[in-house]
Amino acid sequence: MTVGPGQTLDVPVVTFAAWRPELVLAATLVLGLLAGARARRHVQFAVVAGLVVAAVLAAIDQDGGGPAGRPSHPLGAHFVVDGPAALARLALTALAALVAGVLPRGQHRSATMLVAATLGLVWLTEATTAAAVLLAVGTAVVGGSMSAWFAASGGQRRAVRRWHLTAALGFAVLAYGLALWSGLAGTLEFGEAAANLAARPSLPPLALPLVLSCLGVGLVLSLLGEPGRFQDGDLEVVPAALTGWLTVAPLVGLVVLVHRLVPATDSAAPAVSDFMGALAAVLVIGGFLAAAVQSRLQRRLAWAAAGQVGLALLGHAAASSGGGLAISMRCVLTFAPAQLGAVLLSGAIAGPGHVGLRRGALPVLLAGFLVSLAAVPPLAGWRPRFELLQALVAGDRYLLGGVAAAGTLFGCVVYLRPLVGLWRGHAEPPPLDEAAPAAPAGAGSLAVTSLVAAALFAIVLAWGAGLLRPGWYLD
Amino acid sequence: MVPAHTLSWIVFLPLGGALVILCLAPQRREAIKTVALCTAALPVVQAVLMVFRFDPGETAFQFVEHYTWAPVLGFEYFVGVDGLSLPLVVLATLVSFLALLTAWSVESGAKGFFALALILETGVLGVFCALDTALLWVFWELVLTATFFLVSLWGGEEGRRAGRQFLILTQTGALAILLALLALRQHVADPLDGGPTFNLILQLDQANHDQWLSGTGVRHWIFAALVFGCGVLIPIYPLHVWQPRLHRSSPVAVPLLVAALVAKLGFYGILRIAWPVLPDAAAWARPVLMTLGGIAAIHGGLGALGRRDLAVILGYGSFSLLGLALIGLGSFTLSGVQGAGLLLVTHGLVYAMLFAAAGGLYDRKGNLDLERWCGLYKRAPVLGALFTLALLAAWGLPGLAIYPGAALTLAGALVRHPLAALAGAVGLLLAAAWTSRVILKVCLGEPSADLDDLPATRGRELGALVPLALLVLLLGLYPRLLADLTSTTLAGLVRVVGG
Repeated sequence: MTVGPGQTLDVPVVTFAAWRPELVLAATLVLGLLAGARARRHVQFAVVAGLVVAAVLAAIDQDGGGPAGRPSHPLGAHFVVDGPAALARLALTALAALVAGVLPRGQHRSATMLVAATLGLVWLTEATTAAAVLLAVGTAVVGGSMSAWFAASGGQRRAVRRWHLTAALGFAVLAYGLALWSGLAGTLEFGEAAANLAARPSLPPLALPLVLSCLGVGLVLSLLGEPGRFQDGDLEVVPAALTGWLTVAPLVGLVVLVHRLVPATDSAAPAVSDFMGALAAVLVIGGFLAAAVQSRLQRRLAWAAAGQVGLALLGHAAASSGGGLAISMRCVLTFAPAQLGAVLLSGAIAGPGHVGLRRGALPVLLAGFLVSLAAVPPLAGWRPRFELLQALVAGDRYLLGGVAAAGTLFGCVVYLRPLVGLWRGHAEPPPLDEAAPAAPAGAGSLAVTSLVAAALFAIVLAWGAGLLRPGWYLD
Repeated sequence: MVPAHTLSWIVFLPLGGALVILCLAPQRREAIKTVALCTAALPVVQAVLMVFRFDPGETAFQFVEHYTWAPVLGFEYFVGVDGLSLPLVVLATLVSFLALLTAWSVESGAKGFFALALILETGVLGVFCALDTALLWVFWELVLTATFFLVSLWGGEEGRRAGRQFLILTQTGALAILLALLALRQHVADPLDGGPTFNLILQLDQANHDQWLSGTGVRHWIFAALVFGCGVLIPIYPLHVWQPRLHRSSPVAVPLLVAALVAKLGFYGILRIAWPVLPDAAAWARPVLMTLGGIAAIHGGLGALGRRDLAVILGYGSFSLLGLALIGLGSFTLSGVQGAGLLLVTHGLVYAMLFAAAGGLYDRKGNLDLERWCGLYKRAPVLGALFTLALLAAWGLPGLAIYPGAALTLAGALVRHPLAALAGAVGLLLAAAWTSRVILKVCLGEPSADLDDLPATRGRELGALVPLALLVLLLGLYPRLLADLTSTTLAGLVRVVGG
């Protein structure tokens, strides 16, 4: 910092410029909480506007100051914005803005809590200490839970309660896992942990698997909970957009956090890599198999999201932490718009009041999202899958390559079969000269949903064709 | 005149047509079908023009287009044709056009059907033209996905099961191919920068293979994965289980496309990648390939004899004939391989004609049960005559398209593996038996009362069948027309594998 002619003051300075998205999110949250008691339409609009501004600011600050990041955070050294965090921040805020934009009217409380959940997940991607992880996960879990709670009507909150319990259990397991890990490493900071672990002559035999299991199970349970949670029988408990967000956004946070944790356990790299591989395999096989037996599309998509997490984690197991992160990030980033679009449209097409929307552009978009999720070229999903398999083969990890291949095969079955069910029968279109039916109830929200879906599809198409490349600076 | 970027135009015109169709209202069925037909017709013209510009004596690839596409993944947009792929490109454009003509009667979900058929055509053409193995795999996946939807959505309840079986088997095969291609890429070095490459031409040069890839066991595994993935599509015994169900359940245009085009992808994959890149592994697998070919020739023939559904009979017949082609391929002799090459093209033409004629029958009575058809000659003589011609060609009658390829194949196989040649001959005898049975049942005899109102042959049926009939006669009487195109490339392939 220049203080005069020829003089510089060499002290770390907290520059708020890099933290603008978080500041906007925090301000939006405060605004929403203050106005929360009154069900006004403009509050919801203001929340959406705040999320949009945060997303724009996150887009401007895209490379996050390079690999080293910006260590000076208003909350101290517990957080850092580096390249992956900046990318995740953009994805999270953009997704939240889209979801809040399509929430039905009168859901301003739910939208506000969505901001809290987003803030928690953004912190999670920036966390550099165990304490920060706990704070971030806690905020995300509370925000997500409350958002779902407010969105659900009184009689249908049983399913939300069940998820609250799962998330709370996961949070507790994670807290214990972090405590054990801190004890093992002798520090709360990830940066010091690697050095401390390396300095220890040996680790107790089962210590690392135990800690890693706690961390893995805790994170997965607290962030993902029970997949397909927001359906009570055939009843959709919360809006499809929110369900979509809850199956997508935590993954983004999870993958970046794993990237930060893996170098911290560097001295035990083979064990960590094996553990990651095993966890990924369980998630891939378990998630997709569970999805295959679901008859409802949204539940199927939610369970399959667990399989997608597994595939993203395989990226970490596949390559060095840098290359692995790039693959994992791209797995998640290409998954996010497709999953959100598919869940949104499944709600719009099959949801109550929208029977008969099998025709037209929406099913085509839904088909596009599902084909992308199935990793079939030329839509976005196939590229990271290709990269993943390439990395596994290049690293001679043929067993994990087999797992990824099996996951891809299961994914094809899981995602493509519902399309057959959707289109079978080829409902006859009405004659062209027939008068157009009156707009159904909720036509406005359907139009917004369609627009959002079209925007998401454009992203999926552009990534698939190679016109855009997410996270280019991670290569 | 052939325009610049000929191959790209040929490959992507159908895809453009599919996109246009997706923008049309589903009620505008005539417009949808017209767009489909036009965008399928243009590549036929371009492909035929390309044949005249092609130099058959040249061993290098022609009409090459080479661009960077996705450098991080190591992909290139690299396409070109040689004597092996050009006839298949022409076949694919022609058969796709005729399949769309045959499918004119599809009314339910016409928009989706024609769009998917065009996407399928783009995929098939892309596979035949790709010189980058990753690009080839992308097109391969496109074909599998489009076929899955065509079978599942237009095949009734049975089609749903057929689609599921097709999806699982072919996707497993595609993943096996992908893993093999990735392993190849990783261990073939680009001489310019030493980095890994998907470039097929560089992979063909054994000098670029690293030490790991030179290990015998590794090469065998990679070869086996490639043959498995390709074998599911051919299909080779016992990976053919999806085929009868698919033929039984789908509208006739789908089996037409599958038998005449999709099956060729499997052969093409073996001939284009597995054989020349891993010739020693191919030599190791030769007896296995010939044995599997022999089994398919006999099993297919017997299967065709024992069925009542005409579509299933044709499916088994196709399976049997492709078994014969596999025998020729495994013989590693010039005549055997050239015979197999001829069979690939003529099989496509003859079975396209058979399925198109069967489609005509289905349109008239809504069934293809052999027991319910009789006296076609008397009610629709032109259709009956064309159907008989196609059946005689499938039998392998001299003077018709299958004969030259079958004869060369048997001659080549006899030198290397007499038992396989015998199996191929038995397959041809069985073909004579089942085709005779069909002619006797369907074409001859007195028509039953419920066939009294059978409509005469329609113009679009003639439009599909007559060009095919002319080609079947032309290639039967003058096979050099095709052999001259393929001989240089196939001779080069045989040299590579030391035949």
